[in-house]
Amino acid sequence: MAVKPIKVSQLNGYIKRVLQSDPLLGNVSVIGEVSNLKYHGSGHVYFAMKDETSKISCFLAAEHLKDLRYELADGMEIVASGYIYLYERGGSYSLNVREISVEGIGNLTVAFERLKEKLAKEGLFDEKYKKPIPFFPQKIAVITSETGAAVRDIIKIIKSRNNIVDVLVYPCLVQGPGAAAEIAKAVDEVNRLFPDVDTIIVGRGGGSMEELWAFNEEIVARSIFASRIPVISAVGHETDFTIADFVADKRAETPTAAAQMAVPDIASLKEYVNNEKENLIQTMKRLIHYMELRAAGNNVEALSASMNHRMLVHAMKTETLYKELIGNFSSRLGEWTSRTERLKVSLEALNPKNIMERGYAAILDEKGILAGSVDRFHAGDGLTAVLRDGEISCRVSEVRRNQDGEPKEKNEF
Amino acid sequence: MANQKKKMSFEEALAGLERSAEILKRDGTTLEAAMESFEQGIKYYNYCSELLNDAKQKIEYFERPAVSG
Repeated sequence: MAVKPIKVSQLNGYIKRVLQSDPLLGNVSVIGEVSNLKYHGSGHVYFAMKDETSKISCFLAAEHLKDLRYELADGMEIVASGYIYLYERGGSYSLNVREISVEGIGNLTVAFERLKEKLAKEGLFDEKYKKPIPFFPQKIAVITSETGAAVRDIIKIIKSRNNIVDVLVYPCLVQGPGAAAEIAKAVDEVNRLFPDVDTIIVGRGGGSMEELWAFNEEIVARSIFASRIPVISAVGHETDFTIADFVADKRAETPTAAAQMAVPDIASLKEYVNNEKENLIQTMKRLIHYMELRAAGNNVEALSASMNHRMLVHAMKTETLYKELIGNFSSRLGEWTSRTERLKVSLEALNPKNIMERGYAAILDEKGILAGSVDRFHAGDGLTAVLRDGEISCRVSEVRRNQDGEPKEKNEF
Repeated sequence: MANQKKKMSFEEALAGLERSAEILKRDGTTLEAAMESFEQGIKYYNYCSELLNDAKQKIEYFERPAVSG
């Protein structure tokens, strides 16, 4: 009954066919603890899974590694899905892993810490890469689920604070296996398609660690790091920290806080700006007032002092002149009075009426002109003799002139 | 891409306004310098005010093309 012997390679080839045609072994999910984890230079990952009594070699190809949502670590309990593969040359079999999932806070925390450490080492969380969040943005992009509470909260807060900024809601999955890829793609796309966006808010409302997990995936961290536009992360509640929070330019404790951070409150800005203007105007007024006072102190005082001085000088001059005038006038007045007296006496003496009193007469020619010489008359001319108490009309019968031609006696006239 | 570039940002104008008020308060500012700062400040204020009253907010949802990866 002995079976015909076969070669080793034949045996291994046969076992391989049996294993690979088995419907169960072609698609298994195995729970176990990771051990002997090795990242090979080729990009493939080799490790073992074990439980209390047994262990199996595992192989994760590089092409699946990039889709891996968790950073692996020895001691971490995972669920690995794949198929059994026989390595003919060594006669050993292994689990060829297509997908790994991790459950439980403990295991997720290990994965979280692993990735955090790795990215920190690369410098993705460094302060020097943090971009400032624009103070007065014109446009905000919100990357989150369009049906979640986060987007409602964010829009509500933005509208209550700011009626200027535009909001672009960029819907994407925020939980489940495809979420991280969508979030990362959204961050890239906003940078590429909407370069006018000033700030990106990426996040979601609260949930379990599993639900928030997308924000702990490497692909999301790398897209946020690569974003040219500043990113505010807003994942879950105050107590939830994700890898996205570490790599983002700013972490908001909640989506509401992110909205407050992203846009300024227009009403209080208006108030502030108005206060500054008032401040400016008041300062200017004070300055002008101060300048006025200074000008007044400098000039008007000096001016009025010099005016007073000049007025005093003038007053004194006037006084002197006045006194001089008065002095002159009174002395002249005396002079004039005595002179007038004298003139009056002479005048009295010369009054023809006085002479007439003494019997003299004034002779007027026919034209009524006083005649002082006989030359004015010829025989037959008429003349008038004016006496003290009347006139006599006379006719010249003869003109007898003195010999020397001069009047015999000088008359006062 | 570059058409959104504004002459002056709100922050710059606000900083300008604050600076103008600062200069006015400084000791030994001449009247000419003060007047100039004041006028500048009022210009900055007007610019800030213009931006603050530009209430043309749009809230839109990005429509992903039907064929999605």
